[in-house]
Amino acid sequence: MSADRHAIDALTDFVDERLDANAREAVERHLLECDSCRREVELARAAKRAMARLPGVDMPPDFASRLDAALRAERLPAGGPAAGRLTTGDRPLYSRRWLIGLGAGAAAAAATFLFWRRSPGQPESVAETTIAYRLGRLPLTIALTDAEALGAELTARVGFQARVFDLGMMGYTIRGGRVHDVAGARSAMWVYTGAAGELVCQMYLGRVADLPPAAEVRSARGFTFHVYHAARETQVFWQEGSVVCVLSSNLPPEDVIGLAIEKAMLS
Amino acid sequence: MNDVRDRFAAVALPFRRDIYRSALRMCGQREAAEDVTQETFLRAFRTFDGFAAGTNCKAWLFTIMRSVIINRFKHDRRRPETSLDRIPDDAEGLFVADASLLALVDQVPAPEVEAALATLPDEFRAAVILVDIEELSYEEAASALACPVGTIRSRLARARRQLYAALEDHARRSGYSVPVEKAES
Repeated sequence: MSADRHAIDALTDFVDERLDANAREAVERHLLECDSCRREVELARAAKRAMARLPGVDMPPDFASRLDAALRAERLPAGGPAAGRLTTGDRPLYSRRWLIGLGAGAAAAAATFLFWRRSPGQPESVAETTIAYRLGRLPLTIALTDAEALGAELTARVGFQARVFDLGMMGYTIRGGRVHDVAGARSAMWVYTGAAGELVCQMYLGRVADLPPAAEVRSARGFTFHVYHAARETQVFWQEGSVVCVLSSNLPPEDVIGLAIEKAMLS
Repeated sequence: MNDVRDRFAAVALPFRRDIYRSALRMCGQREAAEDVTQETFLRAFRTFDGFAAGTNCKAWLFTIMRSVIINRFKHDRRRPETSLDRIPDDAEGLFVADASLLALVDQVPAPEVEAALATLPDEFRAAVILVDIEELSYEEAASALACPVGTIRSRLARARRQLYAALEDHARRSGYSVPVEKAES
């Protein structure tokens, strides 16, 4: 038997016991007189034995719990495979990191978020999009960094006025924006970045009155700000005319609330 | 709804540990393995209606897992390329093992075996993991990796050769000796 592909194929099948009786006996006869093929079989078996020696790997207990929780949270629409939740293609919006954050967060924050997940309407989806962006799963597809130009582009795409302000004086520059559907409604999203972190802004047609109870409600300068905490994110919702504005950030909550108030003042 | 969840829990969930274990070996990082495992099971759950009862659920899950991994790393430029073209041509020929070291390879400890496995090119490692560790058939592995059965066979042969070479090298460098020699000394 020559050392060609057919020989190697036959030897591999022999090692993995895939040959019928006749073929197996033929290989066995050959091995009696061919040192190189015999060695080939021996080394393949040694490699297989080495693989068999590898110990089992247990899932980390905390991950097992998170996986169970993620599956419990997964919805299946009646009668078919699920597609009933916001997804971004191949990756889960509720990643390991997100679930870690949820697990590590305060009980009140978790309770608020779970309430969101059960409630219909926008807040749940807005929260999901923000988190999906943070995880790198919602790219900014509008590469405009000028506030006026980005506002005009977003306005043209969503059909309502998207007010994008220059926050340069506060130390924030615009990274870009995107438009997507959130629970059937067009939503504009754009992101500021600064030394302390990022601010994710979203606007959509809706009413803050439809939101679930907030962890905190503040009034300032004629606006009412509804504050939610989920994982390490603080989300502040307020109404501007027929549009709901949302500012999300993992900055300290007071900073996020303060920035939301400042931004609302600009409108 | 509950029926689907119950069937999924009974048929697919018992393989959580297998999927995580293989994801860890394919991705090399715990965080990535957890994300891949979670996405694999979420996808499996969403498409569970498409799973043919009576077929190998574990193989079906590995098919999903492989797709998740490919999509996860499709645009990840940090991930090192592992082109099969890098494998020297003479790897196709019969490996000339040192017969005197053959028995010593069995002494190589598991961590070194794990390290040797990790050095294989992605597609070779995947074939070994699915067939030699997870005990899928060639046909099931071929389906999971979206390649012909002959490719699985070829990758296995080359992967085992590389594994053996790495283990033999470790045995030689570590000065292992066969038990008989130990007894005589």
